[in-house]
Amino acid sequence: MRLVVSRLLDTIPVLLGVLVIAFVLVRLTGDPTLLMLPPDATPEQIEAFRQRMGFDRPLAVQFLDFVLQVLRGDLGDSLRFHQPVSRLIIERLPATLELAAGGVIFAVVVGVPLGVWAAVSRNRILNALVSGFAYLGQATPPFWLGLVMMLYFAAILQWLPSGGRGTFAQLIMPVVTVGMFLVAMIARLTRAGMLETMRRDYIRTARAKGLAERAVIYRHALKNALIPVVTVTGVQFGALLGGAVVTETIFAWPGVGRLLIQAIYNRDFPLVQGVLLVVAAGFVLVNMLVDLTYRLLDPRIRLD
Amino acid sequence: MKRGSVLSTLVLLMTLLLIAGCGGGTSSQPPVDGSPAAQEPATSKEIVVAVGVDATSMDPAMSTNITDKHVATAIFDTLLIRDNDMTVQPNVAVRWEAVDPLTWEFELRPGITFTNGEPLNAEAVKFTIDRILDPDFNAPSFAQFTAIERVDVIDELTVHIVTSEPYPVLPAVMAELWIVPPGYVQEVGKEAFGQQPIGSGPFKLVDWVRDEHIILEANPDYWNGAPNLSRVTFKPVPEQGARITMLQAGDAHIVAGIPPYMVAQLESHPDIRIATAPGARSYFVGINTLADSPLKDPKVRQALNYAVDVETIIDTTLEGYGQRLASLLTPRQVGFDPDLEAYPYDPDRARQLLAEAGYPDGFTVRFEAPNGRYPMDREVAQTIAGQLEQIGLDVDLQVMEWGTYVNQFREKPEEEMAPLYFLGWSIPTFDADAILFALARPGQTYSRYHNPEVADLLLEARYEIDAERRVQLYHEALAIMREDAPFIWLYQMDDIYGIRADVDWEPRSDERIYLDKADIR
Repeated sequence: MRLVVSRLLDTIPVLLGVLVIAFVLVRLTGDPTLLMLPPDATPEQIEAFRQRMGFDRPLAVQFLDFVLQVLRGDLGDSLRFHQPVSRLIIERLPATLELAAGGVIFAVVVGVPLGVWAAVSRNRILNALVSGFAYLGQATPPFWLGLVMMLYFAAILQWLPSGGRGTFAQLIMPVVTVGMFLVAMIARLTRAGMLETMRRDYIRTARAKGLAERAVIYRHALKNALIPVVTVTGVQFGALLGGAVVTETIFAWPGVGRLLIQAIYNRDFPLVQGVLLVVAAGFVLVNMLVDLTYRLLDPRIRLD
Repeated sequence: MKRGSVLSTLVLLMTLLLIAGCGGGTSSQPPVDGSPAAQEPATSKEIVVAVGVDATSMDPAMSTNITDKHVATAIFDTLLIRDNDMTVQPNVAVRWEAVDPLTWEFELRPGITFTNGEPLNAEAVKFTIDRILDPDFNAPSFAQFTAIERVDVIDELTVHIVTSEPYPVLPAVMAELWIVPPGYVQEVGKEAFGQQPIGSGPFKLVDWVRDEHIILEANPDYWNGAPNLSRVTFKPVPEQGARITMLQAGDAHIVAGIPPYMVAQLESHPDIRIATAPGARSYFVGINTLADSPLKDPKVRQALNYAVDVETIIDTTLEGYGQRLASLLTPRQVGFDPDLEAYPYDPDRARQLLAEAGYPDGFTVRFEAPNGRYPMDREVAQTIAGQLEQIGLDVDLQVMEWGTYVNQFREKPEEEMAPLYFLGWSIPTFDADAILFALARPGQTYSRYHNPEVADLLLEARYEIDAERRVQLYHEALAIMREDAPFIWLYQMDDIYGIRADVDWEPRSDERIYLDKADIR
């Protein structure tokens, strides 16, 4: 428990850093005044608008205001949507979680068995095929995979809906698009880990005890081979919390990534800051959980 | 963690997350796309419009992007309306006239009610305008309304709009005035009204899930006749390729902004037709005539106009979907001069003019353009840069994201502003005033040109109530500007729409999607 608390305390400087970076970066390219006003607004109207929105105040004052607001638990109102930032984020979190979890489940369910299979199979051709697939999967850009799948399965075959969210069928292509990269990565890591572990003495001992090969592979070897897989999966899941921007854009998936991109294009300061803060917090949290999972996998790993 | 595999724990955890995700977000709405339309009774007629961006607010006074305006058009009524030729016609107001240079009288159609039963009367018109004029309200369209001093309710169906100066553009502005119900707006407040609007228009809002869909259903009691369609869905799909795929798959019925290079492929699809409307946007390269540079010399600026081969840009980059413009105005704008001649493509003349101006070997010039703001913007800018280099200029082309690009106009002093800048300008009023005043008079955000004669003509035209005289003033100003050449005038584009063949609907020049008369077979 003390461990969890101290880890949580560690995240504070990280989040503070995120606040500063989010605040400064989004302002470097100017404020949203001209984007929000019609093109024939006069310079006087533009100045009046900036004053009303508070963009004319010194940056330090604006930042202090923002930090105090966040400490009160208020992320402010979106400039574009005229709604609380927290509500806009919460509306999209389920979609993002769904896609991230779907992608990771898909990747684990396909990638781990694939990696094990490649490691224990003595068939060289099969081995080469799995490795080849792994490299291909990691090298395929998601936007290309997404568009090709959409063209084929939605436009030509018309088996799957071309986008949107709500039904299971609508989940399939986005999940495969975000998951494919991870499948490849997990398969490779699992295979490498398995090859490494299968040479260990305790595996020979297990075999010598007369255990069935299946039990040796899945109960003894896989568990140790999985540590790097868990790390990578955790980090990738955390990254997906920030939204799979490309996939969300292609499949009209209403997630956090799209919200963030729109917010940046619109110079919607409060929304950019809010999304970055929430995403960073999620990422930190997931990493913490990953750290804790190590102990479950291998009690020798100590975290303190 | 004795025997249970870590893997299964992990999968279980993720599954739980997934379920949590599904449970939290999936609305109880029936899926409107993807699944076959068999769920609906055979009589229902519904269409899906795939749009690039979600609405930001359904309060018409707060509308900023094109989807906001599509939705406002469906849910609300405007005081006046544009026909397909963009001429202002009666709508909620059956008659209007300037009773004196400062006072406009509007007579309202009797018997119109909002869908909550509130009457659409003079009081509602006054409330709608007062709301926009309130400085604390921060209406984005504020600038067009500042000439209005006050609104007087004369009787139930008559209003007087009083302006501080003569304001001939007022009827055009009133074609953008979506009238809101005062009682309901005051009851629920600004924010809630933007989420749950009530209007008097042909459709009513059923459901808006951000970035997923906006579902509207027909208002059977619409004063101008119940719509043929029973349901309309706007689906925000940011990726252009995905919108086109939706059209091909039959998941969308109307898709705007088809790029010219996709037209041939879509036309070969048996269930898709292509329709075009001349766009309202005027494309040009602005020239900074105020900074100390070779561009101060009108001869140099004329040379630039002779150097750019606009016809070829239209034929190749735009695949023919555009028309050459001789000024900043498009043919449907009030003030347009059909007799004004565009500069012909004549690189020899351009070189000669450069030499006469004292730059026989050309000079170096920076040219800035946005990327992804307009169709083919980067490609067009590159072509123009190449053509300017043909006459000996050394062009430093800088292409940037729109938000960054547009902010320079406010932040940078005139002398640091890009000498050449690419813009597309569309004015919802279809009147010369807004575009010329903003671009050809000093002190305006986007203007880098000052000719006192032109400035005076534009000022006079702004306040001239006599329509013919006013057009004459604009023609005079345009003629002077042609010789001054403070812009490289380019083209207007055709707006290209992909439409499912069974949908009966035609696009308009103002990019609005009016669906009250649309039908599906």
